[in-house]
Amino acid sequence: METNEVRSTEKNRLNFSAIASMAAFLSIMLFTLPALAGTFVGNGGTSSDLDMQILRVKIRDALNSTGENSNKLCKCSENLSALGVCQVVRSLNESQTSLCASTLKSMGPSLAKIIDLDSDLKLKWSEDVNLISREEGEQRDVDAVTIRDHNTIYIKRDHFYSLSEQQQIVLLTHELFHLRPVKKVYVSDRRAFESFPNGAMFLNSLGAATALLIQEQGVDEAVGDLAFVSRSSHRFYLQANLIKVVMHSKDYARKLVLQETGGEFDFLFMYRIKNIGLHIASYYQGTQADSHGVSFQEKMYFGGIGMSYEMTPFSLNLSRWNEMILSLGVEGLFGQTHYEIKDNELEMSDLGQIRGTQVNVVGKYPLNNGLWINGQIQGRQLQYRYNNFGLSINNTQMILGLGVGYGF
Amino acid sequence: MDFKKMRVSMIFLIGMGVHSCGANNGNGVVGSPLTSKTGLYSSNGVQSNFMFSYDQTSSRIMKLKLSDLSIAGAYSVASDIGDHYVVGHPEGKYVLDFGARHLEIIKEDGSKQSKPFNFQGVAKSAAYDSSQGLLVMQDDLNSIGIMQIADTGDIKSSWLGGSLIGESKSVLAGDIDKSGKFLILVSDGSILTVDVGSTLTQQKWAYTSSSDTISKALWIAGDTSLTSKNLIVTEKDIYVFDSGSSKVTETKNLIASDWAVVANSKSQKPHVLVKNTKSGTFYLVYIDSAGALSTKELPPVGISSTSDLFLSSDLSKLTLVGKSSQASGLVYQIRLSDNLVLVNDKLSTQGEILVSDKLAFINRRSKLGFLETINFETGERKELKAYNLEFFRDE
Repeated sequence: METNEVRSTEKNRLNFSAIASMAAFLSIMLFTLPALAGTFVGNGGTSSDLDMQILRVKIRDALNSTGENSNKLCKCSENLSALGVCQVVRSLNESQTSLCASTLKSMGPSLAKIIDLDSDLKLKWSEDVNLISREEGEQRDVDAVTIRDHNTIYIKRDHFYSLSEQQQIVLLTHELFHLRPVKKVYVSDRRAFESFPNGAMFLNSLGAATALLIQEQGVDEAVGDLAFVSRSSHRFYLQANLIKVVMHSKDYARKLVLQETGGEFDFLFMYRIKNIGLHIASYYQGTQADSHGVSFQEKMYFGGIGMSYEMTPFSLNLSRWNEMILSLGVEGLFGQTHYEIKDNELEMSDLGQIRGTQVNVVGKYPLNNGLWINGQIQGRQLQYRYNNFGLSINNTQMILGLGVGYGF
Repeated sequence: MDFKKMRVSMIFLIGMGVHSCGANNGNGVVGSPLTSKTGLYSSNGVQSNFMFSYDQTSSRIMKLKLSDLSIAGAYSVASDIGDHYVVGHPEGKYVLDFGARHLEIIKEDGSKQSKPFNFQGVAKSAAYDSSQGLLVMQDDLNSIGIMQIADTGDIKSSWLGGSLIGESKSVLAGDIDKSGKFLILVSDGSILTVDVGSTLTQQKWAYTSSSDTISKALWIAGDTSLTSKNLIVTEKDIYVFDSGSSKVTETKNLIASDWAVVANSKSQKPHVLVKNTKSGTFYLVYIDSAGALSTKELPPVGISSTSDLFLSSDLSKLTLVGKSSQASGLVYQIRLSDNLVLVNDKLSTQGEILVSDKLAFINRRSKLGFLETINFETGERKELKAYNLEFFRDE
């Protein structure tokens, strides 16, 4: 049966009034499962984003504490009255508040086990396809769906990260309560439930109450520190690297008498569209060698335009390694190079126009507050010509680099 | 430039003299002092097309084509003997590489022939007549070696002797004149005409002695246009000696004229630059076309010394490289008919400059290799830059 197997959170709920007024959530089927299967990204399809993990831990701890906080459930203290979630619980009537509180108290610990990081619950991102719910004959786009039989919650990542943390808690808690029956009934978003005109309102009130409980309790210090870890979801990224060419073509070294490779500095700006990064980069590479009192020097100034595919390869519980990015990129290169040979009496130089390509493998380790450490390896192929010296250079390099980045 | 693919073809710049470049007087030696390069001309007055030059950076002997200032060949030599000095065949058939206890003949195809005798010093001078294939060398221990060389570069015969001829005659100076005679001035004042063939056959000195004597001889140069005429400089006099008659035909006393020898040169006509010690006036002393000793007063060029002198075979121009108290690399060319200064240039302060009546050759002493020629008549400059670049690449 498609109905009652999948629950959804409707799209575009950007505030809690919208959440509260949502009429019904639908039984859902994924519109085309085969097509959808290929769209999940990162960590083999399981969301282990640090933000999501932190969120799960916060919800878990709050749900575990519903017994000891039973007198605070589904109520909003004055000091939290400015929060949007406060308005949600304050809009409840007495019976609705009572149902909300009793449900949280009775089901909190069991749902805490479900949301725990070590549970079998699967939270998966839906990156770039619409989630379709179909309930009671209606079909609509939604922002999250729960497939109870698969113990899986699908969430539209972009939408999720556009929400405030409290909204995220509401959404996730809402979906969580679809997984277990309340008073022996699986709550439907669109049908009335007890004193609530629809199930969605009931589930949203549970989510809002959970969010308020988290606010009241605070979070564990270690978990709180993780909030400062730089996130892989930044749209823009700047990086600067110091680079060393560790291998190059023998022919290049011979022709230009540059036995030793020099240093390089690069600067890169990236704009991310989901997992694809579009970037422009600027490179400087300088190499100098001395032989028998003769100085040989080459300075390259070139730019690169390219794209990269980024992934987060690690899936560990509450670790900043979860945010580490592995990036595979390719760039087209163009620019200018200057070659000079000089001794006490003679100085000769020439300019060449660079054309080339390179592939990059970059590892980005998150620090805090948007800062990153980058380690990279590049394979680069450059072609240019020094007419004054009658030299055509085909230079293949392998490069190692280390630098810092800032995401925002 | 791919030196490895270059065909080896050598043309010596020097004929009878080794290369009478430089105003290093060459006093007290046989022939002319050896240097790391040959000259711009051959001893018989023909402008050379090729120059051989040892390049210290790459330890190679470079063969330079002077007409377009290009590399015509490069020959690797032993790098552990210190300085290398070269003598080259005018037809490019072989080049002789001299050094400390070292003489190697490199043939046109690059093959090498080891030295014919074992001298123990450092080669310092040589007299060479390419037309006869006769070369006489002297080392710094005053050992004298004589070689007869075939055009192929093979040694036909050779002999190495010590510094004494007879019982007590030590060699003061020597040269091969235009008639092909090897003349030696010895310590007792005798002028010896060496029978090279007999010497090589008997493996000992065979010579005849002139009736005239010249004491304290310093330098002798065979005239390049007059057969058997030789210019001789001693501490006090300048002589003309006729090897045909074995007679001194003319004498000029330096002291009586208040002259001091500034420089002497075998390029291209043998000549001596003297300076009046009282007036400071420079004079040129040479053998004129009639075989007589001539003197020419020079314009006040204001130099204190010279590094190269060139007197054209027609006696029309004197070209010199001078140094003053303020500057070096000063090049003058003087038309001797009226002392008009045709060239007055400061060409280089660092490099080595060789001159002929037609051009100046400048070695900028660049490790990369930087040579330049300047044509005096047209003003055209040619440059050869970074000819050692291939060496650096292959190293």
